[in-house]
Amino acid sequence: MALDVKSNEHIPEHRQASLEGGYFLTRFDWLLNWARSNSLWPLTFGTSCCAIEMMCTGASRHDWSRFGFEVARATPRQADMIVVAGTICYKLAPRLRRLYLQMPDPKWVIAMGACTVSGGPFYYDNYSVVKGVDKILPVDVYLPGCPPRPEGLLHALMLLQEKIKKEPGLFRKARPLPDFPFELPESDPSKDYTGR
Amino acid sequence: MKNTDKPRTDYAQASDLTSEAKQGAVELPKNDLQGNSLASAVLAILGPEAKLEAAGSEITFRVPATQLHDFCQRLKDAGWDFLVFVTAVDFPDQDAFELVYEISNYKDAQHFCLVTNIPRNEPVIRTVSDIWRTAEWHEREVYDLFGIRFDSHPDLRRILLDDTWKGYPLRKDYKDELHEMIRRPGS
Amino acid sequence: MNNDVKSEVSQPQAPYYDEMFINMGPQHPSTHGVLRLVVKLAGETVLGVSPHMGYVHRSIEKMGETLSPMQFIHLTSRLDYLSAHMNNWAWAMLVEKALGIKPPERAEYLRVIMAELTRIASHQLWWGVFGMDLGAFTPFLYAFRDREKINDIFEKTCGSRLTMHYICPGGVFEEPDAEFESDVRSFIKYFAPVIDEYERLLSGNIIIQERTRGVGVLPADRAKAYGCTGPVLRASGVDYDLRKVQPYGVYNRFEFKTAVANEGDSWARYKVRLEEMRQSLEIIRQALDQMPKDGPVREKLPSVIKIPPGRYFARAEAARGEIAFFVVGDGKPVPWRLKIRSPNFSNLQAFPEIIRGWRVADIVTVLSTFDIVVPDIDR
Repeated sequence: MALDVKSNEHIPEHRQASLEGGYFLTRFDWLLNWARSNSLWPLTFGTSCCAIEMMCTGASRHDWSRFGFEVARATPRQADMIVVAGTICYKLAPRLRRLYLQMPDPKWVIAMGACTVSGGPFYYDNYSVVKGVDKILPVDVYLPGCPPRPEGLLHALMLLQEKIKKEPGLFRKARPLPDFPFELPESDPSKDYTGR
Repeated sequence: MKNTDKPRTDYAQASDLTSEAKQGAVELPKNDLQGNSLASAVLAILGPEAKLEAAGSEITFRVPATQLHDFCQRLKDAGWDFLVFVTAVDFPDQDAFELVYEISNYKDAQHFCLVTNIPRNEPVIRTVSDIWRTAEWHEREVYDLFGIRFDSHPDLRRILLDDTWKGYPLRKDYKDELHEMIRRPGS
Repeated sequence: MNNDVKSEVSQPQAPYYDEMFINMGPQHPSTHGVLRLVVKLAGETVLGVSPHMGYVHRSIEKMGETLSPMQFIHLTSRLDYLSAHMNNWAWAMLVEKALGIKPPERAEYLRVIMAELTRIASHQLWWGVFGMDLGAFTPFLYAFRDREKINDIFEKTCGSRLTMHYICPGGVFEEPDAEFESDVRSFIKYFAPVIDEYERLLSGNIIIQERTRGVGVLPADRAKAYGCTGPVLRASGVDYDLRKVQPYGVYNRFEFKTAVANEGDSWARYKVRLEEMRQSLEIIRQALDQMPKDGPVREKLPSVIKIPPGRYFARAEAARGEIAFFVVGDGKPVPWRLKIRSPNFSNLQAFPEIIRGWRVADIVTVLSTFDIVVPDIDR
């Protein structure tokens, strides 16, 4: 089945392309979006089981570098997007938010796996799992599955590429962050070292 | 920072245990794990204060909390060198925590557990991390999730939850308003 | 500058270096998950490491108090997800002990085959990631190419590639399809020479040898004191493999060797895992030969499983060590307390002691040979 992107056609206000600009800016927009969507560098952020399927997607059989995601950077300063793969807990959430804030614009988020979409199998009677990573970060593509197949992740990546191509390239506004009331305390590694 | 104070010996006892302690009336056998069946071998090491409970499939010995450290030292000296885990069970209607120590050895992998009760409003017990080093982190986890303090533990602090977490989640009366804890409908 | 740097530094050159604390934070390419290591350094030499965990603490033990035993199987797969079948097996053994059921013969053989395939898949992934941690990316691709073949077998049988719930209390969920045996046999035929290819690719490499021989030695008595199990313990010379010492299932019907090494360094842990892959192939071959050709694969269970009052304990040999479940039942449909004893929790505890005096790059080597999976530590 071909990519059915018609169902994702509702694009919110701040994302819609502006028509002022004329012909040359529109073509430049198209060029910019094409360049951005075909060389998205993910941040390596795998927490639990979905990380293994993400590694499978990057490995021999399903290879995501065919799509431009060749270089998976470990530092957020050089990454374009985060594939949040794995369960996000309240202890990790402020650090994930800080990682997202450290990434330079433009940046995108894919929520991979049921745990990041809504809390997944850890929804009921659970005190430590954030029920969905969209409480912390603005998510662009949701990918359900526990864990989703590598082909599913590739589908999500292709959907993200389609989404990027529809965005205003030049005057793109950053997405607002959701309200997450937990602050990251300033930590000093020397205080967290106990020698045991 | 090692805690070099003398360990407490005046733990309050839960109401259904006797608190008499007989001193050293048992002759410690050599390291003999074959021959006798498991229960009698362990009872020979521990002596008459250990009561055998056989509900379930796991051989269990109930010991008084004040003598736990001593018994564990005897077991270690007799060759039981593998502490599988340390955990706690919450019995709010008996107003006690039950600590469970699962003990095994590296030669023939036989296993049994020691249980002991400590009162729920003041849960303190002596650590066994000087006997089996692996108990350090297991006891930290019990402290983290239940709030049970371990005397003379070299490094008692939270391990799995954030340092600023309030409350002890695995207790049966744990309520959490801060993090969304959604009850399963019908439970 | 001081030029007489020895290759094995046990004492840092203190007059020239101040102490420094570095955070190998939860998001790091080489910590195998979200583990935070606060490292105290003097120059490049590690004076001590303080691990902080809990970033993936999913409160599975608390959830076990609200889920029925059959519902809990799907959470056991997600503990150490690379040995999902073995976790399921340990839980199934516990429920069977509690209810007094014995699974049928064919199911026992299927369990062994699935568990050993999972062990091979887990060690394949370990080998690939080990090469990647030490700087070689090619082993990663080779390992995943071969791991996909096992994933195909799992997908045909269990429906899922990674978190399988095939082994359940009473046996296995359902009969595998008609091509299962030929698929597994062709995999065994394919993979036996591939392990030698892995050895040729990585083991003789001078960089691997220099970085792993003698590095991070774990003496046997320290390993026992810390409660280590699995390849970490066997590489230190302790011959403790639950499949031999206290055989569960039908393991006592197979002839295989336990992979044991004596040096306790990273090289020994590496060799032990490669040898375990070979022995697993042997076990699978014997299991396929001995398996009864037909028969039921699942024992009938009561529709509401109530664990009777008492304490139950079951353990299995996962790819990383000994996984054990402990349940305090009370006759209700859900257990009163459920405790998971994870192998990686105890294995990691030995890590700070053996890394003192080595360098920052050796942290990555030794942690990689310990082969930890952090969601298993945090449960």
